[in-house]
Amino acid sequence: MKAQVPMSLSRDEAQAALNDIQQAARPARYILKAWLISVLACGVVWTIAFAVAQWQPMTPIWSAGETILVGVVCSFFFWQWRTDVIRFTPGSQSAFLHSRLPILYGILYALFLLWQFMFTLSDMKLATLWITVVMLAVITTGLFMKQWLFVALGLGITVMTALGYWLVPHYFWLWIAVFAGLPLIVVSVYLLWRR
Amino acid sequence: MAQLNDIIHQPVRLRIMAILAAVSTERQVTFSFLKGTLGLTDGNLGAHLHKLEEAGFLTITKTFVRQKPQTYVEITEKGRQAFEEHRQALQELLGGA
Repeated sequence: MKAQVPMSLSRDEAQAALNDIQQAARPARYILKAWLISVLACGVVWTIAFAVAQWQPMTPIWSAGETILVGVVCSFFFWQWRTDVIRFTPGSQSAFLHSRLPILYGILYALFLLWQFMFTLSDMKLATLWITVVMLAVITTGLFMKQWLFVALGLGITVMTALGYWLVPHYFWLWIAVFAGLPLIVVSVYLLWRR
Repeated sequence: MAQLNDIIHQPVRLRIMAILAAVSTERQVTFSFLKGTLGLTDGNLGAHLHKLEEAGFLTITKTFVRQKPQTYVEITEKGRQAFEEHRQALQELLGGA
């Protein structure tokens, strides 16, 4: 089926074909990146909620609730829309992983709620637990999907949150707003806008 | 030296292959997405997909989603390689290999 390079194909035509390829591939790339909007939304909620908590003493649990709500709403609309556009090949490894990951998230969040009700945790401990639970989900997803940036992000946020808890307890909320919320915004915006 | 592929080089098929190759492995896109993105009629798109399927560059799966018929298209490994070689041949023509 292969043909020799046609002599009639000029450099301009080759360039036009490459431009066509670049342009046609763009919508597909946007689809693959659409899930990053939920990461961005989570980052915005965390950054605002934790920053406000530094000056307004309040329980941070509402930010956890907001994040779950954002996650559920984003997931619902995302999956509804996505099935009209793209799906994993049935029987493939990716399809298997994507059907199991939501179960893992459900278990992690259920454990978080259980620990929250079982133990009397201070607001700081609760926030630390919440962030590490979410980051465990991010690290696991990154490992399964071989997305090393997300593994690094999850580990980095977990370490920085723990450091903030021990080293700067007086500015803990501001610390996690900067080192837990902002990185989610920065990474998601970077990946959304990257070509 | 990479060679151009005369089946892929046709403008509409080139764009179809570009979309499918941009999607990660083990993923299928819907017929309606391709149709909307490329601005083609059902018949026109179907004819081009059939040609690419005949060449072994993609697979077409028809199924039902929420009681509605849905057609999914996926690039094959052979198709991915052929498209990559075609793209490389275009770059070589520009002296950028």
